[in-house]
Amino acid sequence: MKPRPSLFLISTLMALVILVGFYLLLVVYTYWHYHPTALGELLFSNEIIYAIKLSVVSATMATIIALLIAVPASYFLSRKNFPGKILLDTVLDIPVFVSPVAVGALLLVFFTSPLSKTFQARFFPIVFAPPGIVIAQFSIIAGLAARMIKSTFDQIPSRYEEVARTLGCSPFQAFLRVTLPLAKNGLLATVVICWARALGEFGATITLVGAAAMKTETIPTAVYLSFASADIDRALTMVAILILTAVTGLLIIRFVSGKEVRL
Amino acid sequence: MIALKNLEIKLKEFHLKNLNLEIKKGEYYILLGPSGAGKTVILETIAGLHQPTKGKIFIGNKEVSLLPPEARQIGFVPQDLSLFPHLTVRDNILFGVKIKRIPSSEYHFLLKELIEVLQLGPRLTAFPTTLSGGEKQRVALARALITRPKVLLLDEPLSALDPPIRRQLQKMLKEIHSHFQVTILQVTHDQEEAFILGDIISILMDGEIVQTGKKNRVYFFPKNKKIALFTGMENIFTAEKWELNEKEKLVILSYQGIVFKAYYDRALPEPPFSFGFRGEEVMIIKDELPIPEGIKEENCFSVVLNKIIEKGATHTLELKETTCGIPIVAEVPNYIYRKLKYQIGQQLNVFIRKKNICVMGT
Repeated sequence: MKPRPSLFLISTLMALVILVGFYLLLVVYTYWHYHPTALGELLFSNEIIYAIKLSVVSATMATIIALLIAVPASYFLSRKNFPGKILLDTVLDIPVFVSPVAVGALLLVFFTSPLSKTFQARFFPIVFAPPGIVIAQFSIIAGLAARMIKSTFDQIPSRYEEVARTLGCSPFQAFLRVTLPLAKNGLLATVVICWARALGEFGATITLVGAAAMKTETIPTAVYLSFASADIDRALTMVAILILTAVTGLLIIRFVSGKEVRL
Repeated sequence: MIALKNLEIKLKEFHLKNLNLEIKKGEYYILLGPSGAGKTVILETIAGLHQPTKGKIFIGNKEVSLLPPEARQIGFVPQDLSLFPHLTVRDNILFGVKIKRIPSSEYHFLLKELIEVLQLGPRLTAFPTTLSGGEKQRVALARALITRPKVLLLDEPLSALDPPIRRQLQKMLKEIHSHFQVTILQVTHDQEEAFILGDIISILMDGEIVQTGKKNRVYFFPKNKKIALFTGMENIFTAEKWELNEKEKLVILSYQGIVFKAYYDRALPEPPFSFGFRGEEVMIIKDELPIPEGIKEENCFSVVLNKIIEKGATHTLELKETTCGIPIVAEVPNYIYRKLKYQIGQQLNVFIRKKNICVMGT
C-alpha cells in the first residue's frame, strides 16, 4: 500500500498548478478571443522580419558580450576577498533593482555627452541606432549574468584549482580545464536567462534608441507601438511572435548544449 | 631533498614559527600533531598554495619559496582528495601528464604499474562520484604519482576511511613508498598511523616542531610531558626528588615516596624532571609466582588490580600501587590476559625495566 501524500506535498503541487495555470490561462484566454489571424501575413512582412532579426541578433550579441565580461569579473569576485567587495557586489545589482527605463535614461544622458558624441562620430552611432540596442540590452543583463555566474563559481571549491596547480596548471589553465567545465550547467542557465531577458528587453532600449521601423524597432517595441496605436490584433500577433521566437531560441540553446539546462 | 629553514607562516588564526625540517630522498616522513595544529597549512605552504612570511623552502637543491605550485614538482593529495568530478578515473590520473605535455611513451609504463599496484584496472572509465572512499584515495595517489614528483605530500590521507580499508591502504602506501622509491611527507593526527607508516616523525604542537626523530625514539622517549600525553603514554609522573648516578648512568626519581630508576643514554633535559613509561612496557607477574632472577634489579612494585578495560586486541589493566596508591596502567595482549585470568582486586607484582622509563622535561 502506498503512503498517502502529505498535506504539505499536496499544497506545494497546488502552488505549481496555480503558477503554470496562470501563465497558460493568460496565453490561452488571449488567443481564444483574439485569433492571431494576421500571423502569417505579418511573419512575411519585411518590417517584422527585420524586427525579429534585429531582436535575435542584438540579444545574442548582448549575451555574448555580457558573458565575455561577466565570466572573468564574477570569477574574481567569487575567488578573491578585498576591501569594498560588498560595495562592488551591490553595484552589479543596480540593473536588477533599478527599472529598465531608468537605466535607459542614464544611458541616454551618458551617450549624449560631448565625450560620447566624439566617440560615436569617430566609430559608430549609438543613440537612436542599432548598436544602442545591444548596449541597452547588455546594460540590463550584464549585472544579472555576473550575479548568476558568481553564484555558480561560489559553489565550485577553489581546492580543485589548487590541486590542478600542483599538477602543473597555470592559474588560467586551471580555470579553463577545471572550473569552467564544472561551471557548464550554471553558465548555460545564465545564457538562457540572459538571452531571454535581452530578447524581451524594452524599457532601456526604447529610451536609448527609440522605435524607428526598419531601423531600431525590436519585437517588444513593435508590441508597444501596436498597442499605443490601438491596433490590438497586430499587438497580440507580435506578442505571439515574441513567444515563438523566445521558445525557439531557448530550445536551440538547450539542443546545442546537448542536455537539459537546469535553471 | 626537502628542507624547511626557519620557516614562519602567518595565515588566518595560524602562526607557525621556527619550522625546520630536513627530509632525505626516499624517506617516509610524518608530521604528527593534534587537530588544528597547522599541519595542513605547512603542507600547503610547501605545495606553494600559501606564501611563508619568513624562511626558506628547498625542494631538491633548489629554493622554491617564491615559486608557484606548478613549478615545484610536487605531488599533492589533499584531505578531501578533490578528484575532478567531470573527468573519468583515467582522465583524472592523466591530468598532470597531459598538462605538462609529457609524451605517452614516457609515462605508459608507470601508468601500467600504478594501475596494477593501486588495483584501479576495472574502474578506469568510472567517474569519481561512483567510487568508494578507498578507490577515490587510490585514484588521488595515482594522479599525484604519475608526474614523478620529487616529493609526495599527503594530507591525512586515511582519516575518512573505515578501519579495514584504512589498514589495506596503509599497506598500499608502504608498497608505493618502497616500489616507486618516492619521498613522502605525510601529515596526520593519528599517532598509530604515524608509527605504522613513518620512518621519521616530527611532532608539531603550539605552532612549532617540538620533537623530531626516528619513530621508536619519539614513541618511547618523548621530549616532554605534553608530547608524552599526545603520543598516548599512559603512565606519566612529575618527579618530586631526583638524583643522578653518573657511574651507572641512572636517574633515581621519586614520586609520592616510590622510587623509580631510569637509564639515560643521552643528555638529560633541564630539571625538574617528569618521567613515564608506556603501558605495554609494564610486565605483570602473578603474586603467587616467584619473581624471576634478574628482574629484581628493575623497578618492581606490588599492585592491586582495580579495573579491566577490553580494547579488542589488548586489555587495559588499571592498577594501584599497594603502599602509596599511585596509579599504573598496563596494556596486556589478549593471549596473556586469557592465560593468566586476571580478576578485580587481585594482588599482582609488576616491573618496569630501567631502560624503558623515559625521563623528560616537565
